[in-house]
Amino acid sequence: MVKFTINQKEMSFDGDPETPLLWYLREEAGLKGTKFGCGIAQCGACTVHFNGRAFRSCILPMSAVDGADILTIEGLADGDELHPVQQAWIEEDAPQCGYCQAGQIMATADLLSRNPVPSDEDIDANITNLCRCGSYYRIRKAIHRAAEIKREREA
Amino acid sequence: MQGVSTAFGALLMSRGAGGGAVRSFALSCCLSGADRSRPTDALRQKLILIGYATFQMGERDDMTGSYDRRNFLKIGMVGGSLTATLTLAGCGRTESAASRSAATLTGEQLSVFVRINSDNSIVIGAPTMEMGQGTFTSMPMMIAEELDADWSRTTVELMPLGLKKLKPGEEGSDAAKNGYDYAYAYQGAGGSQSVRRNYMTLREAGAVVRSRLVRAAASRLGVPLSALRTQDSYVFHDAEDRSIPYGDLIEDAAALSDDVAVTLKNPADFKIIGSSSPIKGAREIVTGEPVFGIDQEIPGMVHAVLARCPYFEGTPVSFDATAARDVPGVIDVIQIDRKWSEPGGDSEVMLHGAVAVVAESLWAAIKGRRALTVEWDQGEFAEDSTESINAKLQSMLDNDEGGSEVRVDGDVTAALSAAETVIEAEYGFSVWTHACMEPHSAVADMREDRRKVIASHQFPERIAHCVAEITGCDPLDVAVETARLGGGFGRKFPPDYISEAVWLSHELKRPVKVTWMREDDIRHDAYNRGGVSRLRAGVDGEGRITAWDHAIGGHGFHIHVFPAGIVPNFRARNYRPRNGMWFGAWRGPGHNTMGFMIQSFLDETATELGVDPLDLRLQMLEPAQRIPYQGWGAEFYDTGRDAAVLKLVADKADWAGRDALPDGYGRGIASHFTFGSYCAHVVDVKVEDGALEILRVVSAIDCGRAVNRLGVMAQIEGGAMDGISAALHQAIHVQNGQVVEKNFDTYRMMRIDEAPKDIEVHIVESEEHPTGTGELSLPPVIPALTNAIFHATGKRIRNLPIADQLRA
Ligand code: FES
Ligand code: FES
Repeated sequence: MVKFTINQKEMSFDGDPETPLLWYLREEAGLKGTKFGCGIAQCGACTVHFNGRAFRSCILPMSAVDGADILTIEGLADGDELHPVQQAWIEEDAPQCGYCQAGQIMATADLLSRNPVPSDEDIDANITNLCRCGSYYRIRKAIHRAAEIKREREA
Repeated sequence: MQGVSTAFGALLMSRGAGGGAVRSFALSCCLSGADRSRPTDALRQKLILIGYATFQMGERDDMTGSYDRRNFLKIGMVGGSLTATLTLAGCGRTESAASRSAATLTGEQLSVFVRINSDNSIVIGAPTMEMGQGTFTSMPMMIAEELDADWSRTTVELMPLGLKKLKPGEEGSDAAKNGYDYAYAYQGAGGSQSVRRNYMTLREAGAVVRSRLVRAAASRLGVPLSALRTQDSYVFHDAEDRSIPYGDLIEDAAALSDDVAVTLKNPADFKIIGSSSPIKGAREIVTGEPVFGIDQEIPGMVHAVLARCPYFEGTPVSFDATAARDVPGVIDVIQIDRKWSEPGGDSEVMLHGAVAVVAESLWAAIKGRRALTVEWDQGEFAEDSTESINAKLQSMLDNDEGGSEVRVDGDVTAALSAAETVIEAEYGFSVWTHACMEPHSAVADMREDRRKVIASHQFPERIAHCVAEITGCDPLDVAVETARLGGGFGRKFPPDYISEAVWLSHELKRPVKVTWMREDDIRHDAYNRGGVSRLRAGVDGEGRITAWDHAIGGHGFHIHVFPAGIVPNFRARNYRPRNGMWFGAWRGPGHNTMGFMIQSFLDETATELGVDPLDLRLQMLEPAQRIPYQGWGAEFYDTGRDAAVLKLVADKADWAGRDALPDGYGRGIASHFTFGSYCAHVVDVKVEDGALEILRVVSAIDCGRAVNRLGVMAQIEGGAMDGISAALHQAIHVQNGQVVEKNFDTYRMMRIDEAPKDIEVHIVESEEHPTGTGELSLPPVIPALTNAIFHATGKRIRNLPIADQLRA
C-alpha cells in the first residue's frame, strides 16, 4: 500500500506498483488535467509537482510515490484565486488548442518558485515542454508576466 | 420527464448586407416551463429563448422541406431546472434516435446558436469545435455583433452536429456524403474555411434574434422600433431614459413571429467584429478541466490499446496472446484486418491491420499490448526505405516517366529556348508527421439503442458516416459528441482512430475507448508529403521571367499557385509513384512545401539576375490583376493583395536596411496565397559558426476583414513557429518498409529555446469578406527563413530539414 497526498488530500494506492503516476491520476483519481503526450519524459504535457518540484509523471511508477506530496494543475489555484502563472496565461492569451498548457504552467510555476525573475536564458534552459501549436512567443511573455503578478501579489 | 412543447416559427426573408443573396430562416422560439399557464418564479428565472436558424448551403430554401419545426424543441424538467433543448429530430434525425437522445440531453446542453438566460447571460453556439484555430471565439463574435450582446457575459458551447438528408437533386457542400450534409452550418474544421463559410450565416442568426428582442421591447414600451437601440444585451429607449435587459424580454420575444425583414449592420458600426478578444474558455484550459477528447468517458467502458502493423499496408497473420491474457485486467485480444477506402492509389485508411488488447483499465491494456507477439503480413512495401523512395522519384523525373501535365499555359519549351538566361534548381523535403499534442482517442458505444461516439475530430459528420459503414445504421441515428481537440492540423480528418473504437464496440457490444500511444501516432500517420521537385525559369533580355517549368515528384501539391497565371509560359508536371506510405492533409496541405520551393527558387532567380528579391516579386505582381484561381479554397487570386502584404511587411521590417546588416546576419522575405488569404513574412537570422539563431519574424496578413485580431495574430505566430520547427528538424525516415521514428526523442520538434523571441504581426485593414488564418502563415515562413539564411551565409537551403546543413 502506497500512501501520498494529491493536492493536499491523503490518498492511497494498492494496485500495480508499475502503474505510472500519470495513468493513476487520469484514470483512477479522475484528474484529467494532467496530460499524456509521449510517455517517455520528452514533451512535458504530464508535468506535476512532486515534492514541490516539476516532474514528468509519465515515467514515475506508483511505487516511487510513497510518502510524496503531489500537486496537479487542478490544485494549483488557491480556491477561486488563480495562481499567478494561470492568471498570466489568460492575460497573455497564451493557449491555442490548450493541450500542452497544463504542463507548461506546472513547469513555469516550479521555475518561478526557484527563480522569481527568470531571464530569457533561464526560460530557454528550464522550460522544455513541447507545443505543436507554436504558442511559444506568448508563453514567454506569459512567463515574464507571471513573475510580475507574483511580485505584485507578494508586495 | 414532464413538459409541454410549444414552438413558434415563421418564415423570414432577409437580404444580407452587400451580398444580395436571399437566405431564409426559421426561428423557433419557446418558453420553457412545466406549465405555461402558471408562470412561477422558477419559470421567470429560467426563461430561455432559443433562436434557431437553418442554414441553406448556397441558395435559399423555401422552407417547404421535410422539417417539422414543432419537433425542434424539447421542454422539460431536468435536475430541478426548467430546460429547453433541441431534439435531435430537429437535426434531421429519425424519431427513434430523437427519443433516445432526449434522455441524455440536459438543460446544460446548448441546442443551437443562441440561448439567452433570464439573468441576461448569453450562451452562443460555435458550429465548429476548437482545436487551437480560435473559432470558439471568432464565430460567436459574429453572432454577438449582430445581437448586440454584452461580449463579456457570453459563454460559448459547441453546437451539436446537425446533419440532414439531401433532397433529390439538392446540391450539398463539399462535406456531403452518401446523400447527407450539414443541416445548419458548415461544421467541419479544415482548409481554413470556418470563418469564410459561416460569416454571413452567423451574423444573420444574431440579427434575427435581436429583431425579436427589439420588437418585444417596442410593444412593451409602446414606442416605435425607431425609438429603440440595443447595446450590451440591453434595449434602450433613450428618449425616456429607459432600458430593458434582454433577459426580461424572453417571454414576449418568444411569442413573436419572424415575418419581418432584418437588416444586417453596417460594418462601420461593428464593435465586436474587428476587436481583439482573448480566447473563450481560457479558464478551463489553465485549470485543467477535462475538455479534450482524450478526457472523455462513457460509463461502463473498457479500454483498448492496439498493436498496429508497422509495415505499410500490412496486416496481422497470427498472434500469440498468452502473455497478454495473463496481465491482470486484460479481457480480450482481438484481430482487426486492414481496411482502406480504395485499395491502392490515394486511399484512406479506415482500419489499420492490428491486434487489439481490451482491458478493464488503460494501464492493463498498455501492458497487455507490450506482452503481445504478432506475426505480420508485411505487404508489398517491406523493402521501402527513404533512399529507395527518393531514388524512385529521381528516376521518374530523370526519365519523364509516369508523370502528368497538371497545368500548361503557353509554350514552356519554346520560351525556355528563347530565354536569355535559364535558371534551374532541385528542391527536396522530408516527410513530416502531425504529432498533434493530444494522441488520438475515441470512445464509442455501439449498442443498438445508443450508437454514440465521443471524440476529438475535425469533421464530426465523418464520425456518423463511419458508424453507418461499420454497423449498417443510418448516419442520422448516430449521436456524435465532439470534444475539444488538442491540435488537429489535418490529422483529425481521417476516420481511422474513430473506426477502431466503433468496430471494437460493435464487436464487443459494450462501450470501448481506444487510446493511441505516441509511437502509434508517429508510425501510423497520414503524413505530409515528402518529395523532390525540379524548377526551371527562363528570363528574357529585360529581366522578365517568361517561362516557369515545375516538375514535382510526390503526391498532392497545389499547382495553381503563384506564379501560375502570371508567367505566360507555365508548365507543372506531377509524378506520383505508388507508395506504401499514407499521405494526408497537414497544415497548409499542398501549400506548405510549394511555398518553400517556389519562394526559394524565386530568390535564387533574383540573385542570379542581380535584382532585389522584393523588387522581382513586385515586378511580377504589379500592376494588380485578379486571376481566376483554379485551385481549392478561393475563386480569385489578387496579385495586388499579394503585393500589398509584401510591401507592408517590407516596410515594417526595414527591408531597405537589409544591406546594412553586419556579417553573419541575414534578412529574407517570402509570401504565399493560401485558401483565400495572403501572408508575407520577413525573417531575420544570425548564423555564427554554423549555429542558427532566428532573431525576428515580421508578418503581414490580409485575411479580409479580421474578425478577432488577437486570434488572427495567434494563428500567424503559431503558424510561423510551426513552420520553423518543421524546417529546422522535422523528418520521418523509412527503413524496411517501416517508419523509423517513434517518439519525440527521435522526431525532433522545436522547443522554446529555438523559437524566435520577437514576432510582430501586421493585419491589413480590409473590407473584404473574411477568409481563414489557420494555415496561411506556414507556407511562406519556411522560404523567408531559408532566404534569410542565404542572405546571411551565401548557403542556399534546397533540402529540408535544415538540420545541421549550416555546420557542414
Ligand atoms: S507524457 Fe510525460 S513527458 Fe510526455
Ligand atoms: S497550445 Fe496546442 S500544443 Fe500547445
